[in-house]
Amino acid sequence: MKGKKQVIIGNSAAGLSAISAIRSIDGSCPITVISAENCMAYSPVLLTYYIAQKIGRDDLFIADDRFYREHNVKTIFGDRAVGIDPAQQTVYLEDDTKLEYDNLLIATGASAKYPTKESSKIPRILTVRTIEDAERIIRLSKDAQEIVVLGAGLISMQVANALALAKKGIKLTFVVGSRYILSQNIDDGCAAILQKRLESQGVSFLFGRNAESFKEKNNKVWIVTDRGEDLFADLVVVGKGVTPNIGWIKETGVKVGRGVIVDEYMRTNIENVFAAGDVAEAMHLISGKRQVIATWPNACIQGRVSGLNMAGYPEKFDGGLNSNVTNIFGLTLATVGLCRATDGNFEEIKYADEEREIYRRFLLSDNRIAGAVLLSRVADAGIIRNLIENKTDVTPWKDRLTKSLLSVGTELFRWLADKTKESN
Amino acid sequence: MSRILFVDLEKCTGCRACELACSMKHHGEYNPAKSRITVFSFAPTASFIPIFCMQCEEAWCRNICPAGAIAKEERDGFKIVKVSEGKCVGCKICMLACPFGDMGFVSEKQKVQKCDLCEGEPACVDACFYGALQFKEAEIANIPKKKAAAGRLSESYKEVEV
Repeated sequence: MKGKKQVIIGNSAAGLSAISAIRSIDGSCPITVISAENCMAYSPVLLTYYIAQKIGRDDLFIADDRFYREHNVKTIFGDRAVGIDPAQQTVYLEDDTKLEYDNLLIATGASAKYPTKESSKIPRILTVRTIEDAERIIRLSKDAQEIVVLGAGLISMQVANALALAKKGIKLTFVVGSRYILSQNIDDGCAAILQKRLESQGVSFLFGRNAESFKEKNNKVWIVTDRGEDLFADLVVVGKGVTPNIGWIKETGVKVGRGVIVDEYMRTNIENVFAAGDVAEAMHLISGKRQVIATWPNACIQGRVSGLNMAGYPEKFDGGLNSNVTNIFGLTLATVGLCRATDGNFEEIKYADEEREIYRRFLLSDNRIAGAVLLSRVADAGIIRNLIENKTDVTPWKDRLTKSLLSVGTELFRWLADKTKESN
Repeated sequence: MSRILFVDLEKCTGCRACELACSMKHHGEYNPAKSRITVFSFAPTASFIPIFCMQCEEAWCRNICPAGAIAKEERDGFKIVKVSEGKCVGCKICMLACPFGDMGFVSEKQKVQKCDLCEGEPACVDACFYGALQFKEAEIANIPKKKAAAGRLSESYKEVEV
């Protein structure tokens, strides 16, 4: 008997994880993967390493011919899905072909936001999301001396880091809407340490303003801020967040909010249509509200869960957790769960050593960690993520949170021990 | 059957020779900070617990690596989760993934490292004078023995000081 026709739209973290998950259960069902980009799967996480010239273009690719062959996957690359008809179980592609499915996974990712419509048309204003973007930034930054970065989020930091590594002595200026850097990810205490480090490397900041209008003039971009200041740059890098790619799904009957709305099985409102990764809006583990979490680890986990369900194994998604690790000008920043100062009523446990650039801050609720910001001392980040995910009562180790929880890796054993006791 | 790195907690004296052997083998220096195996001491109960990579069947570090640098590999009689140094870019996402904290970072190389069972000849096992660390066939679960070990872990855990 022939298995279910599995169709996956999207060829990145979520799509690839789904392929592996389906094949771990069902070796024979036909799988087709569709990608608008006409190339093998590559890793967007590696793009900044490519820009920094730490790795070559070939190193970006994480799946080759062999991967698709070994997993017995039919590939349709360079063609965009433009619509779905759930009643007919059909996907429509840009080149007018139709594709029938039994199960469909929407893993179309997200696109970078531009500050204004006009700004997206100026070639010297760019986002870093795709391999094409990375190539453009490498080409255009060759003769650039002054670069303006809009927004001070994780992507902006990574790109600025990469450019500083690739081009020694380049002038970097951040234009930041909020009062401090990485305001979506960390609190002001940690931000202050990072800002100092960046400033020591010659990076400057303009806080509390947004770029309002853009013009291209003599190979330069002329930016006017909302305070009426004029800035000139050879290149403008935009890091103002992402929007899920859902425009093509609207009016197909698949329910969307900010992203495609899914339940704990990564299923949309339609039984055999799933969504995963940057495009999906799933439950957040801590807040209990639906949220789009556009990170690589989240896409891997959601992709796996949807793949297992598509193959008929009812795996549950416990809820998303925003977690990230970033190398910023020689410092490592790890964030897990709720991290901002404004995240409600939580107990705060904090350790700050400005001199040594170490910072650890925890938000606790009912003696359970809800979020952590770790700077420099990050070796136990995985253990902390584990404690957050399992909602473990951390009362016994509260006084050690600020140092390190590496030895708490044995926590899992303790949990197993309790289980063993119960079952005997 | 498959061979695994096994620890007999009753025999571990906390001498930490395994850490030295590990760092020597992989870094050419006696430096516990670079060891892939770490022994934790629980002073009040005088118990010692070596922690090392479990070579997970469903390895989160592998599933999540954005560089495709971690692979599950089958060797003759054992399995390892292996980091390809050539492919690792040092992004540290795997450190966030491993619930045991068994991913280490080597600053000089700007790459992660983890136990690879020394490709079948674990230096820590050779160095373990007391025979606490063993590289042997995984046994069918011995529930009473497991329970005793787990109980000890549980106890030691209540009064931890490192």
